Amino acid sequence: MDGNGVALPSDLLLEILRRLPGRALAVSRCVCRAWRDLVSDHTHALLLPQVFPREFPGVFATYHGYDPDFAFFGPPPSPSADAHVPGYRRLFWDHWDCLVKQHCNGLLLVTGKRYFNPNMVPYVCNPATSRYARLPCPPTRWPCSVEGMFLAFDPAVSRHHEVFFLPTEKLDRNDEEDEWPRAKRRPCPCWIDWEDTWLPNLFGEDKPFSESKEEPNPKVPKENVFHVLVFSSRTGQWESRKFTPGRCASGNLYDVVTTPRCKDLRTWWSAEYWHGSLYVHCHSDVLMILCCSEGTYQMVQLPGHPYGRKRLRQWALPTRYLGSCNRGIRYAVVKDLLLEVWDLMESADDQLGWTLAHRADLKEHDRMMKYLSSEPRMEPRMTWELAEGNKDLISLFEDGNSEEIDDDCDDGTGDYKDGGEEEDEDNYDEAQDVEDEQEDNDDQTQGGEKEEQTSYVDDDDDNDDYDDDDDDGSDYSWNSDKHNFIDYDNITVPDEDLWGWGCSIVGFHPHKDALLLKFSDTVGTYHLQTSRMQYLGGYIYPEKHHQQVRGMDHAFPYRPCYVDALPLRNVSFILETRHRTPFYAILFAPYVL
Amino acid sequence: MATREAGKKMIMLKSPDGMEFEVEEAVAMESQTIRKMIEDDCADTAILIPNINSKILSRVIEYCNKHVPTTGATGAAASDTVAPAALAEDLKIWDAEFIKVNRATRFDLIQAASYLNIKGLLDLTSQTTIDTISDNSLEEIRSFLSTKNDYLPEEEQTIRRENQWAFQ
Repeated sequence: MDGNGVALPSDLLLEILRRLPGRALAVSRCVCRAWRDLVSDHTHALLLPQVFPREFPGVFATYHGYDPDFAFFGPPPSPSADAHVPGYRRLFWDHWDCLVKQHCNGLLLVTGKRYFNPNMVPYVCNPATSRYARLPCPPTRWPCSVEGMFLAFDPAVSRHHEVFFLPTEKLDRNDEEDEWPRAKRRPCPCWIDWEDTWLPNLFGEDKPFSESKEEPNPKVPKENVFHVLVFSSRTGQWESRKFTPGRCASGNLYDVVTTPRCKDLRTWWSAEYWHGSLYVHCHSDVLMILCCSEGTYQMVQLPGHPYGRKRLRQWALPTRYLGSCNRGIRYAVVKDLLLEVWDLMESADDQLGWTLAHRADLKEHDRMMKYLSSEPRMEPRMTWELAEGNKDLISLFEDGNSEEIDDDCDDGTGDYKDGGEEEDEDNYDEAQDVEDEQEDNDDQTQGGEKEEQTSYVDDDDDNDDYDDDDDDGSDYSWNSDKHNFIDYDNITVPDEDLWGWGCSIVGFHPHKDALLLKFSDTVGTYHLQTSRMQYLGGYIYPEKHHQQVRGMDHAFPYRPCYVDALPLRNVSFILETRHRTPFYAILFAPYVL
Repeated sequence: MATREAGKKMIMLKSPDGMEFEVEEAVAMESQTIRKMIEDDCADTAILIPNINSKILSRVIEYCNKHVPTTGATGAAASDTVAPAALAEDLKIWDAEFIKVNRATRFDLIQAASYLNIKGLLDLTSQTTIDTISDNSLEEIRSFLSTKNDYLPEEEQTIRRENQWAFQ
């Protein structure tokens, strides 16, 4: 009996419950106490595959000079009936003055744009659950364009998130070699000169911050510690956490990182949260690792050619990118179209080091991408497309979301039937027809190219063996490695004037050994194992622009997560949409992870 | 003892109540647990399957016999003539018939499938339970699983309220 009221051992019962949809799982909690306890004890394990599926709906991008200035670049929706279509097309953006500052496993950190809405308090949002929470003011000065604020969220561990706020100290001057004179006229976001944004100390914990300000002073015998403000959604409060030197923490690097910088130079570039540690890409090519469980930090110099004095522009896709993959932390650098990918390794003697995982010359790819994007020279099976804000996205920061979403849950199946899906299906059919037509044409005119396409498919087997998990949701996420591989043997790029505009990094594929790269107007997936480039498609900018100066500010691969600890906005709204997203409501259950 | 018969390797499976079943190796290998034993060379003599009585074991073997890749069981000729889709359809009907057993047997089958690690059988047997939990009212679930409602009335009210969304 095993005390669970059923003639099955608990582990077997769990095995069965794991297959239940969220809704039935909630019902099962009401069967008897033993079941409730079983489900409550294992809620997380039971729900994880559902709440954090291996989906990759696409790339979220923000722009400047366009209207709307945000878009979602992804594969067209799949007609597959089984694929639940989550709310990813409904990223909630009609706020021209907001900016996605950072993202972490499905959560986004949103701040005001530096020039338009500098005083906006950051929000933590989850587009998949349409929920958001305003961050309370930290017990310190509140800089406008918040630098050094990073999300830490791992749904495999907890539905709670944390926000790290790293200490930043700036010199009261701009860089002498300031190449961007406009920056001089505008007050820069920094700790010093935003007196007017001073907010009262709400938590009575101003001390840690002032401590950290004094540390870099060489006259005081210093202890190389970091005081970091951390907001936890568990407590809803900021607290100061101390990080002491860990196994690999040289004093030199500490000095480099804590040295105050000029106002318009960034101190913290990006951060990646992986397995309970925050990996922070600091200025001067230093990687700092904050290990949350141990309360220690480690530092290591980033590999590759030194960065030199040239600044990373603040709003542009990077050419150096810190990210994580299944195996660990990776660092990708592109310089002069030479790509290097490094893996962070911990050696036996606890020292951190980098091993070169991949090196490639992207010149040919660059030329090819330019060539392919300038004219339709290859018939891609299916290209990614841009979903622009006004059509598909909803606003988050207001209460009228329910009607819009409501329309979509007319069926009681509990599936993620999206209202737009039927339409999409039609579109898809059309697309298929077009494709068929194209193939017919191919038969007559471009037989050679058709063979190429076939050969893409034939070659696929060698991609699959390094990633067995491709099957999950591959239909709708377009995860399959079946499309649009560029065949260098059969397409020849003429020599003349086809030098591209270089390459920048969008990010690592969420669950593949691949890197998303942007070449001028196009995006490709570069598969590291096979060195093959997958052409994702056309023009990645919105149609309408309103400024001469325009470009892409920020882009990242988005992976939806259907669980979070963000507050419920409107209970009735949640109840109404239960069929689309049964997982929201399971959060009513008082389980603590 | 493992013997050879008409070119096929046979394996002897023993249930704890003393019954012995001689099955083809290919059929026995449907179970990942037994496959492992065979591959590790622990299967020279008869394999004792603990915890699974002869009645259930014979049903499991029946299932494996049916689901073993056709070349092994029914001969290569048969698989060539029958279209794969029709074959799958056949199997489905057979499965539906196979699973029409009482609750105790089904739970025994679940346990056996889990122990022997036969994914198809585990999916098939647990699916019925999943369907029951997904489709029926709480009372029906309880009576199907013959569990008792041990909530106090106010407790039940609370937990129902917490999970109200799922009942609508």
